[in-house]
Amino acid sequence: MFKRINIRISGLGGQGAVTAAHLLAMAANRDGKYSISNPFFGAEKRMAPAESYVRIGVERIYDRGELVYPDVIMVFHPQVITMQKSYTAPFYSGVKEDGLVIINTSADLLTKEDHKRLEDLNVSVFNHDATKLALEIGGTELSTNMAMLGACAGVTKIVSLEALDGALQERFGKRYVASGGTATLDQAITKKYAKKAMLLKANMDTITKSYELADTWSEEAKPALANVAADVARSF
Amino acid sequence: MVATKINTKMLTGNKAAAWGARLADVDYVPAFPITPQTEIVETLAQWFAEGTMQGKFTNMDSEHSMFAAAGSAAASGVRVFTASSSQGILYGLEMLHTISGWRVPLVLVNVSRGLATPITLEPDHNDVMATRDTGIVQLHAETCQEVLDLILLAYRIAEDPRVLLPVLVNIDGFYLSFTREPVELPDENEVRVFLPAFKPVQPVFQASQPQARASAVLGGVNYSFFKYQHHLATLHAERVFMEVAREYGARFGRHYESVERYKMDDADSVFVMSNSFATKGKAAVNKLRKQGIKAGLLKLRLFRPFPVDAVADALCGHQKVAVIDQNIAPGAGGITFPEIASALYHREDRPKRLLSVIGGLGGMDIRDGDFLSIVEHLDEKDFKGPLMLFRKEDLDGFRTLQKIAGPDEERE
Repeated sequence: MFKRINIRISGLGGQGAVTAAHLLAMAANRDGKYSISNPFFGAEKRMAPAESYVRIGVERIYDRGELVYPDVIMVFHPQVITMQKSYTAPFYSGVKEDGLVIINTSADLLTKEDHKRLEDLNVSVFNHDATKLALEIGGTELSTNMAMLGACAGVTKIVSLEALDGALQERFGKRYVASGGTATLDQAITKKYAKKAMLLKANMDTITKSYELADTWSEEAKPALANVAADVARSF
Repeated sequence: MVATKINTKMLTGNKAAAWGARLADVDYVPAFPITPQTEIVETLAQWFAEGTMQGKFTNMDSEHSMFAAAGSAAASGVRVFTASSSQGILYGLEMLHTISGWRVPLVLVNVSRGLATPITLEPDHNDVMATRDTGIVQLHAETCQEVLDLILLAYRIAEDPRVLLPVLVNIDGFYLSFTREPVELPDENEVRVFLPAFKPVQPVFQASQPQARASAVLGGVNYSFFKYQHHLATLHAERVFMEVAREYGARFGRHYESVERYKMDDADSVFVMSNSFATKGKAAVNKLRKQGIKAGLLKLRLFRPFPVDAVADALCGHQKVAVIDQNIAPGAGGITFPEIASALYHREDRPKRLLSVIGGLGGMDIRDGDFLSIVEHLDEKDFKGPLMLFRKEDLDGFRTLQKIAGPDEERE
């Protein structure tokens, strides 16, 4: 029976690993679950290692800070593995038995030894070309984090698509407010908000497509965490 | 009566602090950014710029000027908020002593971060402990919700005519500042009733009526009376805290005491903790109880004035107490340990065993194994302490780094 899922996200500065964790936690909260998220980073610069953690559960969470024993690990950038740009090495250290690893890659990045260690723990690996999907649908690799979120939700059903949409709107959607200034200014603001609405839609499309792909992968690969939280939302 | 409108948001501790200032309807924010505090002043800057908040936001040239501006503004009768952290609050330390002596009410948030050297970004409490003796009232927050609630309480305490002092609310960097959890935002109108606009009882600075305040007193006699008065005012803050916390609980449904007891009733072994790591302590208590160990936790919330009786009442009658200091005074040990010991000294039924523990420095995790080790050391009567928490793997890693830094076969 599902009680808690711990998710560790390893990415690089600028990829939105922290935002992704925030959105997951917000979505879980919207689904009526308990959640808490926090980041860890050193220097706040692009391409430097950045980690974030999300804990989602059906009971109050007395835990915070670095996540040492994750159920799910998401790797947002291949360099986390290939160049060990990570605070935890190897990137899967501490992963729990029957866990899940989602890597943003088109190629297999793991060594034979990595595969063996993960297989011994019955950890499933989902190679998911998130950046490609982000470029195709969102038109920008900045949506990579959205594609990764969709994948996590698609396999585990830890959060619903509706809740992710709601979280996205809450975090980025702002209602248009007339400036009270000139008509030209109002027009500029209207344009800005229209562009924002389009970006939000592209992001949600990326999430949805990714969710579907992950669901399909999950049906074939049958990871231990497949649909683990499918029936839990709003059940208490 | 419980607030009618409940609005829950997933907020970081920093955002919760900014919301605290916003709901308190502050008039003036002097600011200087520092990781991990920046999000607070960044958020407030935006709200002032958008017109969501009415008043003045000013970027200062340093924390020293920032605290001077905060104190001066409060002396002119407006409601002031500011925030800092670590090296920043230390840079302004001189002004903290100064403005608390001015007896001006304001609220400042410290986002705890370990002090250099070596430099780090993650939390421990040496920064806030350095402000311990400034004569500023101190409240320590465990959750993002507490951050917001304590800021609202802090204004009531600061502005109470029996107190009239700055109040500092401490929140841990990363573990609270960047951690998102659900925070209930109280209804703005309800907050207005709980915390009406600041009406100073003392004369305030006005350009039309020049006056001098805080002039020099030589000779020691008058100086001493100023200091005694300051001490008494700070002591009053405990009673005021209890009064306003009771009112807050009745109005908003969240109840706060100067200390919080967690599963203490039948506890043999009690951890004394403060701030966000207390949550880890509570989780450890739950796990230890499943293993048949009767553990409990006492959380310090009001740190200045030090609630001597509340601490002694809570701890007396329990056999073993471990005080976990997330700070270090080199050459002495944990900073809160002697304060707890002195609170217990005159009580007949004081705990038989009092152990000083140091851990969580620079944000180092305190894990379940550490809590178990503390429980074991509580039974080792000959172990004097302090118990310095670390794991062997981490020590091995550190030694490897030392070798890389300077290969020296002889060094241990």
